[in-house]
Amino acid sequence: MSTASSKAAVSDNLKGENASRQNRIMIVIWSWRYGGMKENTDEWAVEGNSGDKLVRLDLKMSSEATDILQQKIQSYAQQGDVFVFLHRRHGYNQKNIKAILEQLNVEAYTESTIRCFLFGEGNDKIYIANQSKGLLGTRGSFSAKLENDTMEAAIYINAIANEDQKLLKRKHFDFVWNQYSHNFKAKIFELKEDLFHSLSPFLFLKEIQAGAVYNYIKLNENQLLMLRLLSFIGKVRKGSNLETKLREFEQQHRRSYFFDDCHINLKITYGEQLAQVYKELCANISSGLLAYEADFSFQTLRNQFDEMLQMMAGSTYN
Amino acid sequence: MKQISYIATNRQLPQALHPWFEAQNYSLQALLNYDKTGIPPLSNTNILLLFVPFFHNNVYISIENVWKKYLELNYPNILLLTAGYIKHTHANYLDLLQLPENLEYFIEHAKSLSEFESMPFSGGLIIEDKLQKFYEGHGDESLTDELGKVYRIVTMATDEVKIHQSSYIEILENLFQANNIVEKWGVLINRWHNYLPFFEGLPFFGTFKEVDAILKQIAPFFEQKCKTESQLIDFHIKEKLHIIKQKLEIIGRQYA
Repeated sequence: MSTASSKAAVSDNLKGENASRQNRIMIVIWSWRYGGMKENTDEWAVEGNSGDKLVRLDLKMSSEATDILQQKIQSYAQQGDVFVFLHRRHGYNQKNIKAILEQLNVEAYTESTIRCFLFGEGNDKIYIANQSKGLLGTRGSFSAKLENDTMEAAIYINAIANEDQKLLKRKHFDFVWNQYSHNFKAKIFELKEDLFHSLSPFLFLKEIQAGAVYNYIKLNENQLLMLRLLSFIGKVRKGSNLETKLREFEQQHRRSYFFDDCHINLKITYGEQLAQVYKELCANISSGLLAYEADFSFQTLRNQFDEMLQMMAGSTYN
Repeated sequence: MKQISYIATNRQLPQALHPWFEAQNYSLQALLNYDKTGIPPLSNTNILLLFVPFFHNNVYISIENVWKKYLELNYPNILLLTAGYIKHTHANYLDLLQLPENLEYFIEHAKSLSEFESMPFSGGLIIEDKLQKFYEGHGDESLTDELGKVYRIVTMATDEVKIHQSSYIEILENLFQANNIVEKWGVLINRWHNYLPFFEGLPFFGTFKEVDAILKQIAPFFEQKCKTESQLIDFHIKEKLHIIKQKLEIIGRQYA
């Protein structure tokens, strides 16, 4: 589908729109066939007779897949807000998100919110292994066994309320939706806090020598901070060693560090004003923190982070 | 040199700040082991500094106002300060990116606990919201609701054994199995393990640790599907559940 025809379709859709805004739809591309899904796609409702639903799709990335996905998003956006979850192992990356969001012209959807998230390797909040009220279990299923050292015995968690009726438990659906509603804000807030903690040896100095902060961030012990900053400013390329290393940190700490999905959404779905602040913050990180001839202030950095966070509606965490 | 006791979930930050405080003629003293055994008595503490938000369970948690309430109830004369990276001009808040020129002057002008409503919000997860859900009378996230259900069934069963001397097989079938107590226990424990890590930074976390220990003591009875009468009586399941309820109710009345 061309950009022009896609935008025209969006416009037509919006004219006839009579959506109920409380509906929430998750489209999840994952290894569903491995879990027994026979068709390419199906729909699961949520306890409580609402219009909320989870759409399962098992679709490797391709140009055809992108078209199918765009059509689905357009269609479901008429029913309510749409969160799209793309499994990295299925070949999706930030470029696909960019293409999808740009082609959809998401800003035209004034009544509904569309967001795209990348996930994978069990480290994200959509997984039961990461959050017991998550949705995705093991092997393409909605269930998983949880074990950890504080528990006496393993606990079996199942997000399904009724398998025959294809019905999911409301508390699992609500939890994941709420987590991802706040996901970008929480990630940015955490980066800000962690950044200043890591740079605390410099915060209280009267004068900082040019390049001293950059040299400090480059130290091996600060590798994680460096990688998170690079990811935030969009400098971690898919398939690179940096990506592999950051993935290792995610698995080790069971935290989500990648901003590959975040920065595309910030640029496209949050409006121009926030995109501008984000751009300025990235420039400040790039030419201030991560440069030898640096001339920057921690207060400016803080103000930029705060401005961004204030522009993002809602609380930091659910 | 005057002393300031502090709690920080990040170790690097207070270390970096030590020289600045010392130059201002103050020494920073960590309140150790607060996360393992509960905080030590604060009777000798004059100034308590919290580096906020705390970081527990991979989440930044704003605990400042629960601490304020705790100190008001237990140590009303302590001067409470918070420090963080938000921009705020509260008299009791140290902006770490814009420290005051003169700490002595700052402390002299800080307000006592009764002189202000709340500490500036540090931006993280609002712990009061978690506590409220924990203590909700009903609901999918309430712990005390589920605890109440288990306690009621166990109380009835214990009375049947002790007072009415009923057959344990009947109790097992008509009370425990009919009311799905094993499933209810599973829900209770699952919720408990979900909540506990969020509460690590609370001043009364020691009480939660005590409750955790009691839950571990009585867990075998439920894990063995309540099949053993002697465990019900000899493990004092009813009495221990009652102790848990009481301990949690005291906190709930004050903070939820």
